[in-house]
Amino acid sequence: MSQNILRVSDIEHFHWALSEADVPSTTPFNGTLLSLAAAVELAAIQAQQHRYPLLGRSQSFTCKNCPLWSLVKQSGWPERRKPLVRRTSEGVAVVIPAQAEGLWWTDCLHRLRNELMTKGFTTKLATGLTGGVAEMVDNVWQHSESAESGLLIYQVRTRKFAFSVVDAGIGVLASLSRNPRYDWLRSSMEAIRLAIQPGVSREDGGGMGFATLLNNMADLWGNARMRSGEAALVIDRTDTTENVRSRKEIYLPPLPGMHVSVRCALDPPRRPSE
Amino acid sequence: MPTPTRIQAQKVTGLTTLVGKTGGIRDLPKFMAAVAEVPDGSTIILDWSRIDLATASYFGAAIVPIIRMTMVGDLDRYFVFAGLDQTSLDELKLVIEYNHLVIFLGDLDRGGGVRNLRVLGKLESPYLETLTAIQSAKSASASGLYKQQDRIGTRIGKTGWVNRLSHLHRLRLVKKHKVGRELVFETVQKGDPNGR
Repeated sequence: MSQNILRVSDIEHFHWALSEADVPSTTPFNGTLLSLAAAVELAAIQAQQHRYPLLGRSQSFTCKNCPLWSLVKQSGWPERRKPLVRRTSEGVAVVIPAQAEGLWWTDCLHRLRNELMTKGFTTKLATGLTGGVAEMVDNVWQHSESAESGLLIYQVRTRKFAFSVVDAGIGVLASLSRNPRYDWLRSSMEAIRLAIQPGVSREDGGGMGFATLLNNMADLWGNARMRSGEAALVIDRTDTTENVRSRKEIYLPPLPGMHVSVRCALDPPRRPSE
Repeated sequence: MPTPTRIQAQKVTGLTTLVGKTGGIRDLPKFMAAVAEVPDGSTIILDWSRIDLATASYFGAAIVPIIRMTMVGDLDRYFVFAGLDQTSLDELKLVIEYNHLVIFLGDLDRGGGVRNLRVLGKLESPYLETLTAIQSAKSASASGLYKQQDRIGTRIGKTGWVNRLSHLHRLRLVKKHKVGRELVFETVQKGDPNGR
C-alpha cells in the first residue's frame, strides 16, 4: 500500500530541482530549496494525505525557511473555499474557488499581464502567457468536478515567469473518459498525451487550453509539466545549442487532480561554465 | 445593401479580458442577443479592438456556435471580425482552423467600416478564386461568371459555378438574393475588399 503513496522524497523524481528560473532567493529548505512547482506539488501531496489518512503515514515537512512553501501555506489551500489573492515578495498565491464568479479573476489577469510587461516581456508575450494561465485555471472549473478549491501560484521576475495550477479533482484520465470518443483511455500518461492536443476534451468543441498555453510558450526558453494520476509529462526546451523541444514522460505514484507547472524565460539558461 | 452593423465585444461583455470556456459560455447569450437585434441578411462587424486578450477556448464557446448557426441556415447574418491584436488573432485562427470554419477578417478604418477584407481559415483555391471574382465584380450570378470565365481564367460549366457560389454562401462569405429568376451573389461588404 505504501508504495502507492507519494512521499516527500518522490519530489526528487520530479525533475524540478532548483532552477534559477523560479527560485528567487537562496533561503535553505532542509539544505535545499523547493521550486515553485515542487512547493505546490508537496502541498497537493499533503492535502491528499490529510484527505485519506488511512492510506499512509502523514509526513511532516520542515519547510519554515522556504519562502514559496510559506506562500503556499499562507494561501490556506485546500481548506479555503473562497477566492483569495495573497501577494508577497516571493510570488502571488491565488485560491481558485470551485465556481467561477465575480470579476476578481479578471482583475488578477490584468495585473499579471501588467507585471509581465513591466518585467521585460513584450505585450504579445505577456498577453499570451496570461491567456495560458487563464486557460489552466479555467480547466479547474471545467474539468476537475471538485467542490474543493484550486490553487494558482506564480512568480514574475525580470525576463522570467513561472506558475503552477493544481486542483484536487478527478484528474485528466477520468475527465477525458467522460467523452465516449476517449473511453478507450486506460492510463493517465495516454490521457495527458492526448489532452495537450488541440480540440481534445471531455466535451466536443473544447480542448483549446493547452494549445493556447504551449503556442504562447513557443518562443520562450523553459518547460511545461503536466501531472495527473501516475503520470507526468514534461515538455522541455532548455538546450542552448539546438532549438528543439523534448518530451520526458515520468511515472510516479498517483496523485489525484491535475497539476500544471510552467517556467519560462526570455533568455536561454546559463551553462554551468558561464 | 444596408450599412454593416458594428458590435463591440467590449460593450457586449463589459470586459476587456475574455478567457476560457467558462467565460465563453457566460457571454454566448450576450453575443446572441446583440446579433439578434440586427436585421436578417445584415453584415455585422465584430469589433474586438478594446479587448486586451481573448483566448481560443473563449472564441470556441462564445462565437463558434453563432458561426455554426449561420452555416446551417438558422441565422441569416454575415460576420466580419476586426480589431483583433496579434495574440487574440492567433487564438481565433487556432479555433477557426480546428473547426474547419472560414470567416472574414478586416482592419477597422476611422469611419467605423472595415478595409483589407481577407479570409481566415482554410478555403480551397477554387472557392478563393470564385470569391475574388465576386469581390472584383461586386455581384455576380453563376451564368455571369460562366460567361466571363475566359477573363477569370477558370473553365468550368455553369453548374460548377453554381456549386462554388452556393458553397461560399453556405460559409456566409457571399450574400445571395434573387433578381427575377436568377440567383445573384454579392460581397458581404459594399465595394471592394477595402470597402471602396
